[in-house]
Amino acid sequence: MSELLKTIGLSKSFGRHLVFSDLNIKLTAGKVYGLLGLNGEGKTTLIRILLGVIPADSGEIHYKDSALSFRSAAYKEEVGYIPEDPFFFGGMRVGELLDFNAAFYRRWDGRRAEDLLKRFSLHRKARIKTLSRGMKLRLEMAVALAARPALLVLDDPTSGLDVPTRHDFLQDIIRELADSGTTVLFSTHLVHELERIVDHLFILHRGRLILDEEHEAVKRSTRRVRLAFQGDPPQTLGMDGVLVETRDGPRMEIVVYPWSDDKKKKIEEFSPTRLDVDPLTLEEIFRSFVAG
Amino acid sequence: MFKKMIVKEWKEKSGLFLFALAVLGLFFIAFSAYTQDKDALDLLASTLLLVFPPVFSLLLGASGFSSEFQDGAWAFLFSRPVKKWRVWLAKYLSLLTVLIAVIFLFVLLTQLHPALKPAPDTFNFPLLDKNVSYGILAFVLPLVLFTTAFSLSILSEKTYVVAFLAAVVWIFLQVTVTLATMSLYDRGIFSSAFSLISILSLLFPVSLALASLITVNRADFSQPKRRAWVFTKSAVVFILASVGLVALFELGTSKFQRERYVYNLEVRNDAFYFATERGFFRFDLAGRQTEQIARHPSVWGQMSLGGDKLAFVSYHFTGKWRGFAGLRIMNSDGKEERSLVGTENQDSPLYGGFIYPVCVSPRGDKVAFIARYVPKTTVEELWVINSDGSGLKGYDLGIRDADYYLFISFGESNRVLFLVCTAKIKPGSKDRRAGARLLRVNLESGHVDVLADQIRKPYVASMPPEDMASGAGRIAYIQYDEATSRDVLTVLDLGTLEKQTVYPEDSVTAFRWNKSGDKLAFLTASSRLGVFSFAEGGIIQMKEITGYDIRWPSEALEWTSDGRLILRKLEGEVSSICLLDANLTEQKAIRLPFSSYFASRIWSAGQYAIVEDTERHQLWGVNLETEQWLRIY
Repeated sequence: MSELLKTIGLSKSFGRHLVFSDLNIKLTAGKVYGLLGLNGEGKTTLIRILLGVIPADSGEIHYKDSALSFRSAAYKEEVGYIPEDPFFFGGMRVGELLDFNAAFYRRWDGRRAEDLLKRFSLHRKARIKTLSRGMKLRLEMAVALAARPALLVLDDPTSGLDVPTRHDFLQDIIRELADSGTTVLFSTHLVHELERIVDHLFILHRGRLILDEEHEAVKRSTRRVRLAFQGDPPQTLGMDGVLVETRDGPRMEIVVYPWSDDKKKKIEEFSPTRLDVDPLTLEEIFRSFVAG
Repeated sequence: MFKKMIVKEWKEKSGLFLFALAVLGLFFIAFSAYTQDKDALDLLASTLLLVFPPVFSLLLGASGFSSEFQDGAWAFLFSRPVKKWRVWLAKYLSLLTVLIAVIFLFVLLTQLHPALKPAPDTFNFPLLDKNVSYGILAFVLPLVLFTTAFSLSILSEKTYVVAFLAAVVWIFLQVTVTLATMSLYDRGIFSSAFSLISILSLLFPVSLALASLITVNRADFSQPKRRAWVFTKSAVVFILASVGLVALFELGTSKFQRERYVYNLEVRNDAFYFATERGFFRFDLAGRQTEQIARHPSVWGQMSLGGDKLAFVSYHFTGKWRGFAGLRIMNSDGKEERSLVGTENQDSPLYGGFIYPVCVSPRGDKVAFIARYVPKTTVEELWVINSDGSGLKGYDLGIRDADYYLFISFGESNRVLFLVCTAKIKPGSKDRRAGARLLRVNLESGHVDVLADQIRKPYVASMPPEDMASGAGRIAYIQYDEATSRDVLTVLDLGTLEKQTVYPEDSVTAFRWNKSGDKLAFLTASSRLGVFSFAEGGIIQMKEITGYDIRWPSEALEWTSDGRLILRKLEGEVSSICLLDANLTEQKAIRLPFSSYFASRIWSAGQYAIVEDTERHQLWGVNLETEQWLRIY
């Protein structure tokens, strides 16, 4: 698949506070990327930098092999953006917001916009401030998709939405977009939402990208290991990749990434009385990665 | 994009717009309620004019980006596929349409309501000895404040904070530049304080707008401190650049132009003299050479020739605008230059004064001058001194509304002095007829006679001074005649004090004595050229002239030494001077060596005619026989 966007050595600080440094990510066409991180880890900052809303301190951004500057604007024709709180322009009507945005995009598809309104049960004359949170999100989605973006960036848009809305939104739209070739970068702290749709995971933590891996590979390679010993567990299992380690008397539990048969054999050398190896949910994987 | 932005801003600012309408409506009702109470109307009108446009402009401008910060829409806008400066510009222009609409309604109100209708003509706000007009208050100030507030709106999400900050910044910049400019003006470094302040007042909001644009284009909008820092840094750079450029331009052009500008030109048979800020020059007709005869900086080229003496006023700055003037004298060949009197001596009655103008007697033995703005309680304005520096004597002319004086000549063997006094026209006065007075000062008794009044430009001209010295001279002037509403050419006989109207049939726009003082040529309002002869006691020639350049009549006419007349002609871009014979028939046209839309006065001396290229500040002379041009300066 062709490379759509990549960053090289991206760094950003707010005053003395380092948000992240030396960030290298790559997005390829038609995939859904999950950008995970605790609150305040710089997900919104990264997205704003990618969208040219704020400048990076250093580093490069390339879109389709062209280097971008902070003042580049043309590539945004192909980038849809749903911000964290897309609830501004409340005085406008639904149709006015669409018309306002249409003025910015050469590739605006008016027919698609109308189709999306119908699909989302939105009425052109409805005032935005009277819409529910879920409907506002649908409206922003319609705005973003009517421009037929090659890359859709969602900055934690589903927080505060009810579960059915989040489910519909994710299931119906995101997967459909990815299948049609649109790249999606989805930032969220509600990790479980990404479980069924995400292809690739990024985890930002303490200013570093601590995970940059295919979702399936992460799931395959991350294991929870429950151990029990006759006496106290050994001081160390002597292996790397232990994300979390908890002890409770003779019992011990670890999360290991990447998991391998060699590591299992190494554990067996300590002769545990119990050895259970289980897969983890995405949320558990995320918690394990950011626990340290 | 611009169109949609305008619609968006109008929707978002509809509340503010309606508020403005409500305020205007309330004023309208208030004006209607107090139509009989002039004091209340004045107070309401002042409040409306001085408060409404600035406050509305500040609030509207301040809401620019502040409103986008309030709901986080700035990130959404900046993520659209359009350059950030275009977003800035689109917002600015969109809000500007709101401002223009409100100002239009405001002007409409002032024009619709009878109580406010005279406002554009009469409302003036005093500032720095000038009147700030209704136009500035209604149009320029709102635009300046709106731009300032809009530029600062990128700094905060609180509209009222931005509006207040914009008002403070504007007042600070305005006060600072005013004080600094006035201080430099007082020191004589700048020559035009008010225009500089005006230019900078417009450049400051432009500087802030550019700083705002730079900030939008470069700064991280998610960091308020960083944003403020980039804005402040850019604003300081642009403001300093504006100040620097304006100061350099002012210093460069005014000094350059003042140095080159030909202020004054006096003609003799053998030479003529002219002054620039660099000093005084003499062009020798026989030798065809220009020589600088004095290097003292002049005050508007003030000089006078009499006998074999040339007196002039020099000036030297001492760090204060009211520096020290010096009256100096030298022989007409530029030799034996010396000081006659100065204003730097604290014991002198002229201490700290300003000398302008100056007049040398026909024999060159006395010098008269006007000294004004003397800080002491000196009431004398006219002073006469012998050309050897002795016998300084002051005269109180008793004219308190004098604007400025022009000397005509000494007369009756230096016993009297003729001069013209123009009157100050009160600010706002429509009385354009307020003319000048012709005065005769008896230098022995100090008695002042007003010989004529209502004198119109070009004010006055006398016979050649040498001929007037005997006391049998004549003075000609154009006087407004209330009975016929005409500007009539009048000649005053100084011996009998009889007045003779030369041509009562029409208004006269310009006139010129011939070299021997026995003929007067004049131009009328209906483009006729006439010649009056004193020897023959009447008009000897009268002819309608067409095709000549008499747009500035007082500059258009001159006599040659041999009694011919010179007029200017402008055909397309080609200017010529034309010689007319005694029958007022054109003899020849000599094309000027430069093209100039603006006519300059023509002087003649000997076989030469001299014209100034007023655009390039050059003097050219032409030999009327050989038609060869010579650049004199």
